[in-house]
Amino acid sequence: MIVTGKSLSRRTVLKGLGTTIALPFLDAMTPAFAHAAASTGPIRLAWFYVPNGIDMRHWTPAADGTLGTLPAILSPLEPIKDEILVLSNLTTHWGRPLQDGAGDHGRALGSYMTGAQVFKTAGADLKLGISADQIAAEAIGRQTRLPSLEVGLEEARQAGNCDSGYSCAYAYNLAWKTETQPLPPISDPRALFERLFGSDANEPAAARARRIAMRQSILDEVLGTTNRLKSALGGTDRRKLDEYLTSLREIEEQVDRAAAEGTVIEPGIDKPFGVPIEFPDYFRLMTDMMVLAFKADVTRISTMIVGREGSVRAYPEIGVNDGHHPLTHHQGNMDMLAKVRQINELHARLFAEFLIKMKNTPEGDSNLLDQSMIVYGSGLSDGNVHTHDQLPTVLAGRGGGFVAPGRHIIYQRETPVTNLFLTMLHRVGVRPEHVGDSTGRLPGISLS
Amino acid sequence: MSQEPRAFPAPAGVVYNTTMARADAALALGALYVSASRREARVGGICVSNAGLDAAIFCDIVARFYTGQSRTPSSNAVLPIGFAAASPPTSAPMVETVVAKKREDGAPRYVRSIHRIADTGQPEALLRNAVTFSAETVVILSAPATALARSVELAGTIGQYKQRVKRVMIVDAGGASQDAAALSALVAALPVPVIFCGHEIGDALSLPLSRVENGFTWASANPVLDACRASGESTIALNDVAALYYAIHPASGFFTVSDSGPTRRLVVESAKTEECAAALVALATSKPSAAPARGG
Repeated sequence: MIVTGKSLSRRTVLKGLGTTIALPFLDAMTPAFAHAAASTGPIRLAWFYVPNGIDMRHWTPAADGTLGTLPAILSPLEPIKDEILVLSNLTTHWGRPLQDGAGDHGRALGSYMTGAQVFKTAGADLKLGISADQIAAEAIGRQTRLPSLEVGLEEARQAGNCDSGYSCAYAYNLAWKTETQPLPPISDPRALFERLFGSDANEPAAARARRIAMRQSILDEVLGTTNRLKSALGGTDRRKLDEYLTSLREIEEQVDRAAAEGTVIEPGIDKPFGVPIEFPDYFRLMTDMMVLAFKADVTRISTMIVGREGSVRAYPEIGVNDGHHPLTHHQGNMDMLAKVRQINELHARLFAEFLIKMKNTPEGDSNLLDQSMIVYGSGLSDGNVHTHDQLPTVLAGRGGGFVAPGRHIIYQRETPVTNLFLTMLHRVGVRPEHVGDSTGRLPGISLS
Repeated sequence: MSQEPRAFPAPAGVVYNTTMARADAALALGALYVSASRREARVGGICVSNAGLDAAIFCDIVARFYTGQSRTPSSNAVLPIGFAAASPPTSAPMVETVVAKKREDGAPRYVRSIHRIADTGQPEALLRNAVTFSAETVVILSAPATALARSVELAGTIGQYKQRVKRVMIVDAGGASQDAAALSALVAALPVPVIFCGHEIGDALSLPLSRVENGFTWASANPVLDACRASGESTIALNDVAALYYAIHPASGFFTVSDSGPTRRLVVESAKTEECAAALVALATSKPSAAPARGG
């Protein structure tokens, strides 16, 4: 590292014709003699939502305190269990029917991050609340190129009746900017790639089409500025930059391959054009881009809808050819329960892979996972009878030294899951009075 | 907004915040479940404040006993019992006695699903959530006002009270004024009528324990009766039971509400005191109605 009095701005980008590529965190971005304060660097917040509840018998650790051997569904997280907290007994009260009758799936996802009552409508008169990520984005989103990033693994429908009179907008959107404005997740890999690393707003459409058709990389567009920057960097930073750009190119190639494969779309499956045929590949591709986005500080806030509430996705990759949602209404059928568990385990395995990539991504003296707080959970616990309390919840990462992971904490029942989100927002310096129905910060996350 | 049509109005919900430290409180809890079994009321929520865990376990025992739920129910079916511990957490001897009772084989005499604090509900969230269920709810505070006041301070709760809560009844005998600041803040914040039930209610409606015992002929072992006996109270002042009765049957003719002065107070019709006491004890010692058969 070259120690100088000046530092490179964290917002430095590589610019080319119609293309802007953010940079990863480089030593040159650290002010001279500021390494001791590395743990106070930016904290990333992310939420992963899994649909249709979880088979809680194979999720909940037997005892509170230090995590021992993890139950079957969480077992893929075993290699990284020292980096997670399992939080039990949290609730989304507004997911319950109350006086609004059927429609638990629509309410479950809608109320999860807003902590608000989902106005029952299948029309355009949507009304919900502001989601936790968007409260954060409003306060600190200006510090990065994208205030927040919304990703999903199913094409997001924004209209129509998806669940007993609830609009599809509620079942497909986790992030709500206002009470009436959902932020649809990006489910198309190319669209996500270009939102993150290309400047689709500035690149002329014809030029973009030509570049894609000629299989040119967006890196080619910024070659000149890349070389100029490299000449000003020290050896360590040059290696980091090369690694980063190589990762970016690899993902770009995956996106290109997916686009070619994606021309074959199985009927009856919600899948946007250009999506990898196998779900695990799709998950990995999209989360690889999230890792890179966090690494390059393109955004510090992200949501990921692994499946929309009521998802009927089948998972032939693991031998489950039935739809997920119908399987969760198993009524005790052991064969169906076994398949639900397989799906739950697959999701957890892919999430674990994501966490390991975050942990293996250095940042300053630390790594991305240490600098993050990532929620993995659902607004339903028992999908068979639609329970909205005792939710499955994992908090991964150390939040820059704030979280003391490796434990199972059991809260009093009815504790709103939004208390967790409020706690996360406070950690990043955002201090709203409440997040939806939160009653206060969640104790016990840190040991201090 | 599309709503499923309702065939008949739901009965009024009752949210009961209690210390569960007096025989009267145990009787009121039993009376609430009896009323619910008759579909005259709905159990909106039960929250124990300023007590030890045994008080919450006792409430859970009574709930299971009166609703016939011998197994741990699905969490969707029954809300947990809210619990705000006293410091230090101590329960009344009457609930400790019932919780500790054993059968001949050494198993607990009464089924319960609360074994640790994590099995109880967070008090502020539970009290807030409890008023979101029904179009009409009555809240009875017979405990220090701390938890209820906090719940009312939560964002959106006042709006729920305006929409759904018909009245809040505050029972002096429950020690609401032990946290005077919380009580003042609560009364100032509530956007609905507040009715105080003073000690004079219990003075007028006091009955010997034997009269209560006589009502419990329908079960050889009953946690409410056991609690009354273990309370050491030879005369039971029916403060909470009176508040509950008025909450469910405001037009019974047994009570009036004074509307003079800064606070409204529940008043027993002096000419009907004995009749009222008989009605209260009959309700509190009744056997719950059996659930109607399917399709019936």
